[in-house]
Amino acid sequence: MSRWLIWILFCGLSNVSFTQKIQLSPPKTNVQMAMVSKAHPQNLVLDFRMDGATIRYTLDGNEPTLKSMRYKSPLNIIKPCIIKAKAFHQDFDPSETVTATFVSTGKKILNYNVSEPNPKYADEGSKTLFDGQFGNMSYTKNYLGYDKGPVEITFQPDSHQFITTIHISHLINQGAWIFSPYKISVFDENNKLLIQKNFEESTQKSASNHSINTINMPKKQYNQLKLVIEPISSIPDWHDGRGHPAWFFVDEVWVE
Amino acid sequence: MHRRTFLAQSTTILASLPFTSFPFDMAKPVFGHQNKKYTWDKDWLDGNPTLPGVKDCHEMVFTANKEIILLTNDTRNNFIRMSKSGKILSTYGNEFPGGHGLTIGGVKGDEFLLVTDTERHQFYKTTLDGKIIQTWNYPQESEKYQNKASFVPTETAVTKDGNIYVADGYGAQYIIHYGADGKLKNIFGGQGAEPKHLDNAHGICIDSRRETPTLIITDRNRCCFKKYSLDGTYLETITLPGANVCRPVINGDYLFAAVLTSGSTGNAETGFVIILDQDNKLISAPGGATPTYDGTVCKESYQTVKLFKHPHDVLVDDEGSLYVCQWNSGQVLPYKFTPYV
Repeated sequence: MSRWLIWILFCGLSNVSFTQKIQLSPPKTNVQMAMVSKAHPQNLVLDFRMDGATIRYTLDGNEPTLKSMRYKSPLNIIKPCIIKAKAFHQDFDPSETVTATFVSTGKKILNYNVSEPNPKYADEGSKTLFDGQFGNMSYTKNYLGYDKGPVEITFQPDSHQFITTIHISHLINQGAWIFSPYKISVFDENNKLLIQKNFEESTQKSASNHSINTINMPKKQYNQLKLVIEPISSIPDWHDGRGHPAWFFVDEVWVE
Repeated sequence: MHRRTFLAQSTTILASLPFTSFPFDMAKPVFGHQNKKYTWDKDWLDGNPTLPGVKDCHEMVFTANKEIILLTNDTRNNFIRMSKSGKILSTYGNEFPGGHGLTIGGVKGDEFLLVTDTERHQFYKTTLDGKIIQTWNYPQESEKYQNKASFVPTETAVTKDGNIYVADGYGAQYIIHYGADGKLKNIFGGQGAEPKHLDNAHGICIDSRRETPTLIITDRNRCCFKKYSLDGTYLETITLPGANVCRPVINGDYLFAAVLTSGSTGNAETGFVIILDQDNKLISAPGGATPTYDGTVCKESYQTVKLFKHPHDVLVDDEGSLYVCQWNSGQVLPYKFTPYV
C-alpha cells in the first residue's frame, strides 16, 4: 500500500507540473459596441491567427465552450445581439471572453444640447453623444469627459414617436478615476422630475467596462427630455484617489 | 473529503487510465513559426539554490566566453552573469538605479560593456565586471540639450572600430554619434513627424547583414524600425503594426526583437517576440499571431498566448537558443527557449 501511495503522490505532483497550461490571449474584435438595424447592418470580424486554434462564439449571452459555434468568417449583424467569443487550443487554456454588443439604432432626435465637458475631453462636443458612434476602452476618443457635475443633456425627440427607454452609454475605468455616476434624473419639457436613478457606491475595485444604463420611461410622446447626471463628488476610501471628484465619461445617448 | 477516501479514489482513477497516457506524454507547446520555432525550457534556472532578486530585467549580452550578462535596474545586483545551462555564475554592480541599455564591444580578452542609466542621465563604458572606465554626460556640445534631465539614454551601439551611437529614447529622441576618440561627431533623429524623426527611440544596433553596414533604430510608439546610414541619413522604415518593438538584435541573417506590448497604444501585460528575415520581413512571432502579409503590408501583430508580460529584450546564443528578459513582470529572471526541430 505504501508503495502505491508514493506512486500516487508522484503522479499527482508530476501531473501538476506537466499539465499546467498557459492561457491563450483573447481574440481580436473590430467592434466592441455598435448600433445596428436592418438598414444599417454591421460586420463583426474576429481575428486569432494561431495554428490549431479555433474561435468559438455564442449569441445567447452564455460563455462560449468547445461546443459553441465555430467562427469561420465575418458575421453580418442585422439586429441587436451580444456576441461572446473565446479562443481555444488543445495545448493551452481557453482565453478570456471578448464581447461585442450590438444595440438597436435609436429613435430620431431632432435637437440636443450638452453641458460643456472638461476641455481636454471635449471630442466633437454635444454631437459626440448623438452620432451613433461608441468609444472603446480607451477614453481619448468618442467620449465627453467631466470632472464636475451636474452634467445636463437636453434633447428633443421627434414628438410623433412613443418612447419607452433612454440608454446612456458610459465608461468605467477606475484606474483612470472614471466611475459610474452617483445619480441620474430625467425631467420633461416643464422641468418636472419623471425618474430618478441612484447608483450604489462601489466598495471594491472592478474591471474596466463599457456600461449601458437603461432607464425605463412611462410610454409616451415627449417634446423634450433632460438628463441630469451627477458624477461622484468624492472617490471612495479604498481607491488611491480617495476624496477627489471622480470622472464621468459618456459616449452615447439614445432612446427607444 | 477525507484524505483516505481521496487516496482510495485516486487509485481507482489511476487504474482506469492507460499507463502510457499518464503522466509523461504532455507535449511541450511550440512557439513561433516557419523555421524559427521554439520550446520553453521552463526549468532552466531550477538548479540554483537561490535566485537573485531583480526589479526590471532590461537587456542582455553574450560574451566571447559564451556567458550571458543581464542588466537590471536593481542596485542590489545590476548585473547577473549566467551560463547557458542556467547556472547563476555571479551577481554584481550597485551603481545603476536606472540601468537600461546593455551592449558589448571589443574582442575576447578585451571586451567591455556600454551601459545607459535613465535615472542618472548618463552612459558608461565598464569592464565585464561592471567597473566604470568612462562616463558620458548629456551632449551639451551638440547645442540640442539645455540640461541633463532632457537626456534619458536607453541604448547604445558600437562599431568594430569603436564609434558609439547612443539612442536618447526616453529623452529628446536624438541619436548621438561619438567617434572612437569618445568625442561628439554627429547628432540626428529627434522629435517630429517626418520619417527621419523618432518617437521612443528605445534601441539601436549596427546591421552588418549587408556589405554596407547600416543602423537600425527603434521607433517604438510608431511600431516600426528605421534604417539609417552610419552617417545618420534616414533610409527606410520597417513597419510592424501592433508591435511596440524594443531594441533590434541581429543574429546571423535574422533580426530579433522583444515586443513590449500588443497594439500601438499598448495593452498591459501582453507582448511577444518577433523575428525578421534578411529582407526585414516578419517570419516568426513566438507568443504572437502568425505573421501574415497583404501583399507587402504586414498585418497587425498581437499576443496570442499569455507567455510573456512586457518582454524587453531577446538574446540569441551560439546554439540558436533564445533568452527573453522582461520589464515589470513580477520580478522574474529571463526565460530560455530552445530551437524546436
